[in-house]
Amino acid sequence: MSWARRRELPLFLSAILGIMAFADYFFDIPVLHSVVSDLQVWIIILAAFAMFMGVINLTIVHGRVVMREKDIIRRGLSAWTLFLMYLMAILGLLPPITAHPSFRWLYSTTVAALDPTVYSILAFYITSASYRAFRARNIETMIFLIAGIIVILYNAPIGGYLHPGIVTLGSWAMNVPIVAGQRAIMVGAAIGALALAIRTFTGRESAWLRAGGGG
Amino acid sequence: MFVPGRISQFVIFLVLCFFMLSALWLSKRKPIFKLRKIAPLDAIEEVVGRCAEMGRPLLMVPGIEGITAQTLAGLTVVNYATSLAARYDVEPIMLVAVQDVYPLALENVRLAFQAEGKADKFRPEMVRFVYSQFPMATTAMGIINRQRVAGTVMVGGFYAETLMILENAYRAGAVQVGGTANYHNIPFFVAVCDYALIGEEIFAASAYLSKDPEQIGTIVGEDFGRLFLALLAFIGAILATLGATYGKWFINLLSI
Amino acid sequence: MVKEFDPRWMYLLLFIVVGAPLVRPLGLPLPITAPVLALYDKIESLPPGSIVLFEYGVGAASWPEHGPSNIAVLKHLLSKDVKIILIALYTAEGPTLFATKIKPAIASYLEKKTYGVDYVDFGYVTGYETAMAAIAEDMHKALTKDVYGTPIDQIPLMKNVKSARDLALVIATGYCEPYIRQFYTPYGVPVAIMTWGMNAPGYMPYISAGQLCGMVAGIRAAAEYEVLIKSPGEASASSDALSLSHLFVAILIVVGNIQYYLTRRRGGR
Repeated sequence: MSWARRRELPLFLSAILGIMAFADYFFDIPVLHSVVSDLQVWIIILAAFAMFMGVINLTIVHGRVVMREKDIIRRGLSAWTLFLMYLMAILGLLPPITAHPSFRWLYSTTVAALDPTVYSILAFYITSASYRAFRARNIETMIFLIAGIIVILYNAPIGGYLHPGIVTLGSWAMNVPIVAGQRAIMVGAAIGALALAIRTFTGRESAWLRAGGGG
Repeated sequence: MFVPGRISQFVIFLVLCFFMLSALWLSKRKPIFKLRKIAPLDAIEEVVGRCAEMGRPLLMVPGIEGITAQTLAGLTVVNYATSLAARYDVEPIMLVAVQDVYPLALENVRLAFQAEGKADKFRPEMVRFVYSQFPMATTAMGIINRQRVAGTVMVGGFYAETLMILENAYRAGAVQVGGTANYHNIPFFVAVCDYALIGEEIFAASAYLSKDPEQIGTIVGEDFGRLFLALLAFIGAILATLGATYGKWFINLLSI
Repeated sequence: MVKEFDPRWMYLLLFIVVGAPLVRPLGLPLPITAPVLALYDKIESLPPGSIVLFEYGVGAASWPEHGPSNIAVLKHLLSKDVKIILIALYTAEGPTLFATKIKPAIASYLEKKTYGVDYVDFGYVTGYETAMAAIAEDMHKALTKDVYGTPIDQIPLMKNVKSARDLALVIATGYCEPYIRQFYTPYGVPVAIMTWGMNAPGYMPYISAGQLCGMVAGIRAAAEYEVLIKSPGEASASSDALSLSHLFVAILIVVGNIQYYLTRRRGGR
């Protein structure tokens, strides 16, 4: 199959299905609605199949580490990753699916504990990034710095008690300049996404579909 | 025929489409529009070049969303970076957190190596699937610190994992290009990245990199669309200032 | 180049600043912010018998941000004479966390209510925004059975609830935009959101435009809600840590600038 054919068919499908999804958002047409609903189900099924590819990829990546890596710790960690992945999958398939006590136990003792832990690490990175980013290098960054400190203190429950002006200024910053800036970014991004959709539907945008930059 | 409350949305949609399609048509006839310089996109070559000089890998993430507009924009940018990496013999490592994106990303990297005449150097593990946000973030942190990546390209829909990856790459001395249209994460990119794409800039990547006049035309159409929406906001502000009745009338008009 | 602190010192100090008040609370004051008060007032003003759709799509990772607000708002709803339709749309982990963490925390409130009459649970429904649109349009078509397998037509609470038009309020977890698109814009149903603290500035435009009738963003807002309903919980315990950590970051920024200024005076860049 030639390059052109490989690109044109997916682009044609993207255009047709995208236009149908757009039309379903605006128009109340039962036939279209049922077709788009079916397409949504297809997406879920396709995503499930893609998950298999992901599992194969993880197996290849960590399998190679287990087979070839000299570092015993890395080999052990990769073996542990593979073991847990397959164990979780097997326990999840035990009836009742994803509700078997052993699956719930593993979930609540590993995933439920590890996910918030990793999330909480963000606090450390925010601290070091703020320390570095808020530098008064010129007038603009000075304004940014002062505004930043006011908003940080406004968001701290104790802020208003340090100085009443923090609440007034912080609340003004949150409701006026921040809202204005956020709206501009939101509107801009939404129009940008719409333009991307139009370029895709008209066959002008295909860089996401093959390597090599634009076009 | 119309879903309740969406007639006015449809009219606005048509107006925006009109601006974009007419600018595209004008550009097709005669290339008259030029895009301003977008430094982060120009810097991708520098990032890949640095990886080549240092002999270290390039880390790329096209966001953590499924197949959304942001992911497509992210894939456009990382595809470009992958091509450069293949050309300059840099090892690309792409992390994908959503299964739908994985086959697309894998095929793109394979084609990038094929297009550069280096199909033999492509390995499937250049694209790594790590399901969901935080496992992907910890994998990225591990790769950054173990393999000392010299550059990162992170463009797409990002959330809380952004700063974890960016800060680790900063500590590893990597040159970073990143961007998202998720307004809650834009500050992180601006604060840490060497070059940050802000909001809608990520959607202009394909037009900017290809220099294709028709694609550039749609970007100009976007700007007219923005002006149109700014005009609507201005009229709304005037009417709301004149009195609650006028403001309410305008809101009702836009809620039809 | 400005010489920087080793970030690990910052991380250690932050760990102490956050950890110490959790071990020994200081009882620092907690003012109530407008978006939190707005949701509280909205629930207070609901007429008796109103139907509220409560989306509890809490994930394990986001539990610290979403869990306490879910518990606090549910406690408030259960203390009022309103009917609650529970559902998880944002994450499939919702029902597991509801069963293991939310339900035990609101058990005393649930005891006073009758399942099927005062509240009903539909568990996780796939499709996210597509599912939302379908639920808003026709609940009996989109939600055929509850979490225990009871057909929707046999649930007394659902007899008079057909579509979004019968809802008085939608309270959701995660991102607000899909709910605004599917419930507020087409049907005019007020929408409130329980979201991440990080999203608060981003959602202010929706609050000021009236598209959101209230917001509980992050653990600080959850602590405020706990104060409002006079039921201190997980969030209130973290309130002091939150105050001190914010103060710590502000001080670090000032220190960073002094260091930067001194380095520049010495001829550095």
